[in-house]
Amino acid sequence: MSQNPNLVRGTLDLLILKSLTWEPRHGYGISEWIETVTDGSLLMEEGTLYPALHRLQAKGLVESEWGLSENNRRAKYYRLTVQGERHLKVEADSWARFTDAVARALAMQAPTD
Amino acid sequence: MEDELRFHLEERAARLEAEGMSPTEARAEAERRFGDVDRIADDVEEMMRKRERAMRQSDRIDDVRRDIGFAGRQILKDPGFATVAALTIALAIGSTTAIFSVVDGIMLRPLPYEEPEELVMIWADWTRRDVVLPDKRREWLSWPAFADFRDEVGAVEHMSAFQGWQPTLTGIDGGAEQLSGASFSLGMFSEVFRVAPALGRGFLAEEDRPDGPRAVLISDGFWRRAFGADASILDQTIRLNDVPFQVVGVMPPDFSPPAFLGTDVWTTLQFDRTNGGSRGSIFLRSVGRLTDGDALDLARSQATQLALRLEAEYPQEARDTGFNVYPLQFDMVNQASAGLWMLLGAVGLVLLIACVNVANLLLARGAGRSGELAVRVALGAGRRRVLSQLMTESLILAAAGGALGIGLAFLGTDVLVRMAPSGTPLLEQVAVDARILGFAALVTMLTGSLFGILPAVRAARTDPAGVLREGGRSGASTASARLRNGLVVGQVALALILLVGAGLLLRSFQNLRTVDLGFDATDVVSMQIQLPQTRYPDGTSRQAFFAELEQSLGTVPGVAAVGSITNLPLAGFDGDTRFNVEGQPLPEPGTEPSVWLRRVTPGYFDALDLELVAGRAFDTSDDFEAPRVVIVNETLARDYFGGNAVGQRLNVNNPAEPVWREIVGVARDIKNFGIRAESRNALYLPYAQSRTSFMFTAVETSIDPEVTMSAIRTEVAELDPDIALAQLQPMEDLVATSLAVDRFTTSLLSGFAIVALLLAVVGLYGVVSYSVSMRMREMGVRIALGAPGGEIRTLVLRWALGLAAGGIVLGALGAAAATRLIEGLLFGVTGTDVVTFATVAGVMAAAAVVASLIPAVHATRVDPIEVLNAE
Repeated sequence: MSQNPNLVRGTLDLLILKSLTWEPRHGYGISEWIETVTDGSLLMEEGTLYPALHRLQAKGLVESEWGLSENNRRAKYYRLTVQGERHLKVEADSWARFTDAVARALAMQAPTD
Repeated sequence: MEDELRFHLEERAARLEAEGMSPTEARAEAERRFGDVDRIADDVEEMMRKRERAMRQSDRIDDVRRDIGFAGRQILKDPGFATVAALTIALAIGSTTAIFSVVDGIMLRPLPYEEPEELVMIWADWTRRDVVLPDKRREWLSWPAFADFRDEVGAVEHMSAFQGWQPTLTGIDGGAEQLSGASFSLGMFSEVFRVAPALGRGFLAEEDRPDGPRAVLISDGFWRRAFGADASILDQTIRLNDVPFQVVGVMPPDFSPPAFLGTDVWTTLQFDRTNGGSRGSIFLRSVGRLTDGDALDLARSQATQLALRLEAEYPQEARDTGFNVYPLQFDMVNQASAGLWMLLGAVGLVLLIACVNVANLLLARGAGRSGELAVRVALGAGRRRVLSQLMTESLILAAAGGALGIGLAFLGTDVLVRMAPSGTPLLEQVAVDARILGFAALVTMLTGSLFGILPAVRAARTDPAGVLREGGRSGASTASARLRNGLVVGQVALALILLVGAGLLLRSFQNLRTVDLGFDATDVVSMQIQLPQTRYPDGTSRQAFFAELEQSLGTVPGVAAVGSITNLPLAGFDGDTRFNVEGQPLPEPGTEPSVWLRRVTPGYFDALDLELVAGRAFDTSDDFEAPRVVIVNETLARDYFGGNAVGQRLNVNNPAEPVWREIVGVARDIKNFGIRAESRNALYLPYAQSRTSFMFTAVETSIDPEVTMSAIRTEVAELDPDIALAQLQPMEDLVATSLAVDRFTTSLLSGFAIVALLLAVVGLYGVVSYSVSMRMREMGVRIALGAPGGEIRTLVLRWALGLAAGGIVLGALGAAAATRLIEGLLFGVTGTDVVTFATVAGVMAAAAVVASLIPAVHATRVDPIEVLNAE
């Protein structure tokens, strides 16, 4: 699970922001989305989602509002702010560069004379 | 738990159930996947709380910032109003702060010694005795009384007795100089004040023994002034009163002992217990240190026990006496405190009047702004928001005034310290520092709230619908008009109280200045001369010196008469002297009548134009060999001889072995104890028959006193260069000095009263002219209907004078109560003096007429057409 908390935290933030790009979602919805799109390969405690959401809210990257869920229950919906969108874009780019670089490094063959 | 988390768990469990788990399993699995539910719930809750707090705070900061910006714009919109308000506040805060800094330095700040609350002064209490004393609660102690107290009153841990000491320093460059200091028993500095010399050592026990080595401690100031801070002073002796003293130590520069211990030199008392230790010989004052700051009551009750025991044991000497133990600070500032508290009270009233003034200005302005406020309330600004915006305006005004006022306070404190009568205790502690600035800031905030709250509450209560319907004219609503009128009445009343106080003090001061002193101080110069024991060891040599001195001073051009006396008039008491009359039954021992005794040379009565109402003055034939003679004053002649004193005989001191002295003359009563004091028994002995080494010489001159004084210096230096001339000054200065405290309080209170009057006049003017402007329409209608200008003017004047009269009546009542507090400062006038009250009321009424005349005239010039068209 959290072998590298910083990496996981950054990743989690990024995934949350990404999950909100199409529509506002509640916390459970976000966790389901992550589970689906990563095929459950990103194992995490679902509860860690919530401190992360509040952190993002404090940074002004997301905002929240109470609403009704699909089955008519009260749920808190999160939405990306303009600042959040910008942040996602920047972070996604740098994430891509980062993984790309790491991937390239790992793909290197042993030098042949 | 947070709803959000519960929702998550329930949704997850539902999903798992749908996938085939039992409800219990699903629930458990949901929680497992979620992680530590409680911890996460806590974390989330904490984060939410923090965020909420931050939001509320930033809201509040935003509000304040907006209020300040808004208030600033409002203030700048009307710079005239802002300037007047800020200056009023500045004046009041400046003077309040300046007076407070003096009060604080003298009365509130702890004395600059270690554990100052433990320091006390110990006096003999003679209030039950019938004696001629300036202050019977503060009589000096005999050596045995001091020793008993020191040994038996356990609550006073250390105690040292002292005597004033003004030795003449000789043998250094710059001629003879008279120093100030004290001689005291061991432990004064080391145990009572707990200060050690910065250089050298304190006194040794053997230095306090009779005929022990002569040692002296000197102050840092004297060390720098006279010896250029040369450390080798410790190996040297200095000549004081012509006796060599070993300098054993230099006190630290920051040590400033109470004024009664002097400023330059201190030595040991070297009291000889085996002789001179009678209980009747009182010559010591003493300072003690309590075991701790709360021991004062214990010390007092132990002192009472001791006094009872001494009375029983020594029925004669200790009869009707007790002890008084006063905290040192109380003792030192006692004289100054009544006047200072009064000034602080007075300046507080000025501050209050200033507040009322600004409040009234704000009210008038608030009325003018009711339209604006109504719109804002109508647009949804809460009353609290409106209130806080208006209060912000007031506080900004107050802050501006306060900042200016603090500047004024620096100036004012400086002026006060320079103006303060000489001898004011602890003046060196007076300074504008952080403590005073804190006070000023506090007063500023209080002031702002005080003058802001009423107008703000009034304005916030505005009913928007009503105001807007009436086109913003309801500002002149009767309620707020009544409030403003009430404030003006209050202001006039407060100012009247101050004016009455100032009036009473002025009348007292006038009385004091015109009191018949009984002698003529004009064109008289006086000086103090102390002959060293070594070179003038006996009466003959001293008499020869003063005879020669008077003769040579008599030859100085312009000098009309020269005479000497042991202590000048107004100076007060110098020892308890008793007398008894020949042929009259001897009173019980210790109850002989007490008398003020002076020794004079023949020229003295002439030099001061002191009249003799019967008999003759002394002349040169009344010498040491001649029969003993005495001159008494009118009071003594009346009370003991039915006015027929000349030719009768009396004895001074020691009734057991009387020396009968014939009364050769009766002198007029003069003010010996001070200008306020009643006349008491006094008698004069010829100097030639009782020759002391310490005298004041008075010189009457017909030319410029300055010229005479420099001639005197030359003559004395020629006669004996090692004699220090002290207190060489015109005698009129001496008289002025004895009135210095009265002059100080009177002039300050008068100043405050004038400021109060001006503020009240400005306040009255503001309210009247505002009210006229609000009633323009009514005036216009009246004029249009043919009312003559005179009628309009009378209308306004009558209304304004009605307000003033209300204030005058209220103020007179207040003053009658308040002046009771200053009765102790008055002289020859009572606190309810009708003349003063009537005069002050007249002044106030006249001021009210002046204040309302301009608006009244203005009202008659209203152009009805213009006013009615403006609707």
